[in-house]
Amino acid sequence: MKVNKFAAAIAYAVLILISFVMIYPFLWMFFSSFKTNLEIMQDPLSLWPKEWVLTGYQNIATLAGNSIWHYIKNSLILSIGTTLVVVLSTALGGYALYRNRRLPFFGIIEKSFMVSLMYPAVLLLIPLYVIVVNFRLYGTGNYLGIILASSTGAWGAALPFFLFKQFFDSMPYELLEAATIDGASELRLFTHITMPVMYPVFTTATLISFLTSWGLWLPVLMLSKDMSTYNLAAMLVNLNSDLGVDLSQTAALSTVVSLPVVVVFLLTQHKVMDGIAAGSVKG
Amino acid sequence: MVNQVQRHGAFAVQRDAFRFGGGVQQGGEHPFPVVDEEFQAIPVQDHPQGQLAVLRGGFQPAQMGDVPAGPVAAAVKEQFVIFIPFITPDVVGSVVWKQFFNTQGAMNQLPALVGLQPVNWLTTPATALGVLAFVELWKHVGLYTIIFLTNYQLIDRTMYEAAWIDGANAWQTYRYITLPALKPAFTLNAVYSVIQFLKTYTVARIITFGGPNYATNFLSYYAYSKYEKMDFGSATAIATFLFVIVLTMLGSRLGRENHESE
Repeated sequence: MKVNKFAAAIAYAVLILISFVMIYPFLWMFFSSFKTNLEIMQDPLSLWPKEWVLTGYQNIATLAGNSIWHYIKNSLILSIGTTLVVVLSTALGGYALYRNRRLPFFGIIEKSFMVSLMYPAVLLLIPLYVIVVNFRLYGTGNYLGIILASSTGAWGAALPFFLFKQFFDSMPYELLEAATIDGASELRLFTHITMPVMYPVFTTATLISFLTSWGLWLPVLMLSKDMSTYNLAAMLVNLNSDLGVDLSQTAALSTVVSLPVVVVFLLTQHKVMDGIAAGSVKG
Repeated sequence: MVNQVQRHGAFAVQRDAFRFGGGVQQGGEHPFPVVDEEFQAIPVQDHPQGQLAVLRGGFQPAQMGDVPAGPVAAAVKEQFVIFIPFITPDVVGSVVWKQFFNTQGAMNQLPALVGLQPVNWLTTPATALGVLAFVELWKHVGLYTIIFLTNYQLIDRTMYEAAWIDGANAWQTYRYITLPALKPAFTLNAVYSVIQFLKTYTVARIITFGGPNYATNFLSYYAYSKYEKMDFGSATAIATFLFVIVLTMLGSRLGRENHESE
């Protein structure tokens, strides 16, 4: 028993250390956003500010001539739009796959999702760019092109798709057969049988999709004509490419970017982690 | 017992492994958790209608792809910390670590605390690569952990029982039961990390811009920088080349799956 306790103590010590390494950057970021630049430079390791100041937040109140609310609004529009497109299309697509597996090209569609999960999304920028421009979705204040590009398999649709597919694979077909015998129409089958059962997966997919699309910056940066459609993450990248980095400003903006995600994640961690595990194990 | 296993899912397995080494400390108590019940335990509250839960209980976790909702959630209850870097936007992590490893940053001060020369992490090619590898690990280790955990949950506990009866010690149990049973997770994580390497661009873009002296010019970042310079031809060539690699990897994996199922 002695060995047992000793080993457990060591294991817990290691785990606590790892947890600390995992969480430290976020704590540093949060506390640094309340420090002055000078203090961050002088004492880079410390966490607790000597004096709580709001200069970082004052500096991000206006970014590149636009108020911070402009970017928050863009972030919300882009991530909610992407989530809607992704979840609706993958839910209905997965259902279609489930209802009739022998429709032409469905095998290829499924494989292509797997490829898109593995393929580096960066390299699809040029085709996406060309497509977006040709569809006349490229322009000032045009969110649609970015939303559609962010909804492709490479950026975010693959994981929800596998979640839905896996769920439908495990759903007994007899359920629908029974309803069909009772005389339910195809629409009724979906709204009255499938939708109630699919509700947990649906929320999980929505959450994952929202969390991943919130931080997307590359498609936003590349498919925006100007700052009118930049979201918070893209702005953070933009801020970082300047030579002189304002540390407290960067920390403040990082906090603003990650706060919603962390809050949503902490509230729904089980769903999110289970969903990601399930989706990626399948893929 | 079940409760305990649910609470500390990952640990329970390890603790059991330790216990086998000890042999027979507890006289009458059955040393194995009743895991079967746990696998069936599907949260009723997840369902809009109670009777559907009964229905769902009928879905059997047949293979690795079918992850039961309950146990994984319980197992990672205290380990969500490791998952936070994975879920937060990748820019944020990169930006913060950049400050840590900067010339004036925290990591330069660390060697100084023990009386060593400060290291210029980001301006030396070898260490810059190491820093990026570390940041990528930091970001993605949560996903790999979860995949291992998921696999852990699906190990048939009766195998441990059999090994215990055969008199296997802790190491033997680990070597001949746990490790082989974790093979799917090892394969999957290996594939994922290779793919993740091919996808790496954010850290390079934020932290080093591909430098110093092209030391961290990863494939994806290279294509990205070509794109930024409007060199579309080269970028597309890289994309096509990578597509062939990924297809080959995927093809070999699918081929093996087909072979195994025969």
